[in-house]
Amino acid sequence: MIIPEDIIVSLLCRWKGEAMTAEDSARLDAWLSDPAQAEEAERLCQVWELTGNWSGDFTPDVDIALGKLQWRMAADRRRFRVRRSWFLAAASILLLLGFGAYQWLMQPEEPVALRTIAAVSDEPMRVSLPDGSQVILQEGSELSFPELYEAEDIRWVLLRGEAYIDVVPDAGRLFQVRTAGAVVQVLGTTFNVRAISGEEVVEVTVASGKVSLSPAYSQDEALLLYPGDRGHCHADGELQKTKDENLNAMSWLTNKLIFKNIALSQVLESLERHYHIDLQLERSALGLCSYTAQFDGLSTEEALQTVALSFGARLIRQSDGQYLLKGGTCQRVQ
Amino acid sequence: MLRSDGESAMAAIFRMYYSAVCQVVFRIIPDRGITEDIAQEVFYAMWRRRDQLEAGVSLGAYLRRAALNRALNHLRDNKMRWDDDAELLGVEGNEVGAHQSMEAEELRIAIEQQMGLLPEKCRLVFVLSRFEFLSNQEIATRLDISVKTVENQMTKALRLLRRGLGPYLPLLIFFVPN
Repeated sequence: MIIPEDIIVSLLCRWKGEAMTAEDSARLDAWLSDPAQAEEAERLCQVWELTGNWSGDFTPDVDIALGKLQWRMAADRRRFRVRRSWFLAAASILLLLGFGAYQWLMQPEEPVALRTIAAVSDEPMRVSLPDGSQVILQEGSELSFPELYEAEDIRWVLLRGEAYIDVVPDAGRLFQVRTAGAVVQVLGTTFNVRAISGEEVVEVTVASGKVSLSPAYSQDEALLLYPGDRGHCHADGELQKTKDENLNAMSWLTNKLIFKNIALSQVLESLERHYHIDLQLERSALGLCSYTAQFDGLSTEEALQTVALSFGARLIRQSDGQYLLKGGTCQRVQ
Repeated sequence: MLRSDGESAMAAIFRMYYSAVCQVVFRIIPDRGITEDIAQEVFYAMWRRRDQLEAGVSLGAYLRRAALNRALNHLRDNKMRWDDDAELLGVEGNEVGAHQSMEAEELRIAIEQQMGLLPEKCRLVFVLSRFEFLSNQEIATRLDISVKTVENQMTKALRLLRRGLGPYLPLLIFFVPN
């Protein structure tokens, strides 16, 4: 049975409690006096009720979005401070300039316009920041920054994912990378930040210069990092510094993996991260074996076969992206 | 609360309402990126206007209305096409067979699917009526279309959903009057 359009329109009015004319109301009641028609109207009402449960299947990442907002609020505040220092400096000559200058100093700020760039293709993406600093954004990562840095007293970007950043030195003006969990602050340097949603640890590796790493919500604490250092900022705010022994943090960029007397368990970690796979050892003791090799642009299977051969193990592909090293022995334990 | 202790209050408000604001926008514009951008602007604009917020107005209602306005402005500025007036075929089909009791999850998925199957314009009109409680006249004004078109689209949406969700409707029990 198809309910006529005018009846549906009247039914809607009734369900939503909207006013309708006495005429429409009477016509609806007349139509509903037929039991079959009333039943069909009841079914349509059930459909209306059921759709009320529709959520529009979307769960946003509240922390990331809040981080973005807090940064814009903080940027507003900093610019207000800049304006205020202007105000103090200008106060003494204000009388000469008159009311116009006063008005300019007191006018409300323009809102911060944010640009957001997402690296959606399969390749890392190169992004130029307004100050000329260069960012190489890993696939699947997202970067937001103000369209202009002129009004800012700090240069800043928001990062979700992983990026390699080459910061142009700027006399006295800091550069900050803000992630959901940590803040990385530099003067002019090259470094890698890894802050993947769902991973608890934010990892920073320094290529040159000096970098400070702080938890997002307490910037009084800071860990200073130099080339060769790897800094971790944990979800609970704990900071940790280790020597970056295998220097493969930037392998996603260089497509090179270098291992010099590294325990196989660590080698596996680098391989898993670089190739986005899961790799298990049948004999866990093999993880203590020492390994030295250099992979230059090898495919996943080429690299894994090379490792397997070195230990006389067999590479077994269990399913897509899941591998097992079966058997194998080694002489040299790390 | 916003007037006295700014930023931490804002963070609390954000945590409380962000998902709901996203939901309002996402129902109207089913695109994650655009939805998050619009939701971000809703809160940022509220922050910048915090001195002008009227006391006594529910924040939830204010944010919901702001989200709705921004989403509709976005559609207007991006010239949404209104070209999906395809004829409805076989509306009556699929009469309900056995009313088996369905798991809630199955029902949720079915509603999700059926909403997704509505033509874009039809879904938008339905969403404004169902979730934002706008009258046909208000919808017509906001979308700059005639009331007649709104009525057509509402009818079309309900008929499509009636057909699609038919098998999931609970059993009707009628009392025969004495």
